Amino acid sequence: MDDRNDLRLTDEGDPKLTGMLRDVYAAPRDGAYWDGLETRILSLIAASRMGIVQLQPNWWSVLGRWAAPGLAAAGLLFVAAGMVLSRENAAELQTTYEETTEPPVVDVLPGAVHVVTAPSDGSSQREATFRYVLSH
Amino acid sequence: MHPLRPTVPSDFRSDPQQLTASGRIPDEERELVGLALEGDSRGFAGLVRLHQRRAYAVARAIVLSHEDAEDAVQDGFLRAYQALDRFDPGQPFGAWLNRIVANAALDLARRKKVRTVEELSDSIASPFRDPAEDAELRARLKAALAELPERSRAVIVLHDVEGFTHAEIGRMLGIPGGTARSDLHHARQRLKQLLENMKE
Repeated sequence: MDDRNDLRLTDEGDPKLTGMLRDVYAAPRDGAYWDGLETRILSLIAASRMGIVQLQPNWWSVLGRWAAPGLAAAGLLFVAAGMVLSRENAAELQTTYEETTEPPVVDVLPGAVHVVTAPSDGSSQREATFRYVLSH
Repeated sequence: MHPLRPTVPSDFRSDPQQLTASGRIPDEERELVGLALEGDSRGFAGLVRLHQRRAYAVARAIVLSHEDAEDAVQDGFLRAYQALDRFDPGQPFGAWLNRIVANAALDLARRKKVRTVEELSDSIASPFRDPAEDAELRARLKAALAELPERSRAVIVLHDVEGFTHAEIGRMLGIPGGTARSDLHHARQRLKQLLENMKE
């Protein structure tokens, strides 16, 4: 139960800390300050319209510019990987099919084993082998 | 008179309550957006007047100084102006602008992070700091905030100081509202821990 309670995030901050934060982050209250900021913003925009000011590219605009080519490249890579996998699967299927449908190949080895059977005249196996060796 | 100076009434100021109410676009804003989209400079000037305070608060929550917040606000407004043709007039302009300003501030904070942390650490270690207790506390808090990652700092300030909801913070910072909430919890804990460590 304790663990479960620990996961509940309360919205209550420390009032003392919040007070200090408000003090540190207090916005200027003077109306003249805001008039001044407004004038600076509008001057900057006017300057950019005249081409005097250029915006520096930042990380998100750079990422934004690369997003489309990046997606296209990723798409192409995905298609290529899909084609390779598909070909591998097709080859594997073909091999399996051939293995299943074609009759097994019986290898006849050179120098295949000759079975020497014992003669029916009652002589021993040893004698029969001896005769076979002499005859070759 | 500035060529872009708006002709909107002088009492046409941003109202934080009105601006944080998501889903409802005030008539004045709708009108100004319409003018701006038609290329009438008075429209955008009115939007600057209407939203600059909130935009400043967003930027200030992310960067470490007032000057950097000003830079981020100016950068954000300029980017918004240049991207105006991509703005959907059916959406609240403030939310769209705040996201642009937050991105500008995050970018600025990342570029300045190392230098600022070093400066603040030095100022804390310095025996010649303001002897007043308040000033010392303030300095400690600033140093602790500088140690926090930008996102954690932004979430704390936007929520605890500016009163934005988790969902609004999430939209601004490009994260889910639940993540903003969880970040807030962890950031508060981390901030307290940093302050405790500095006290010792």
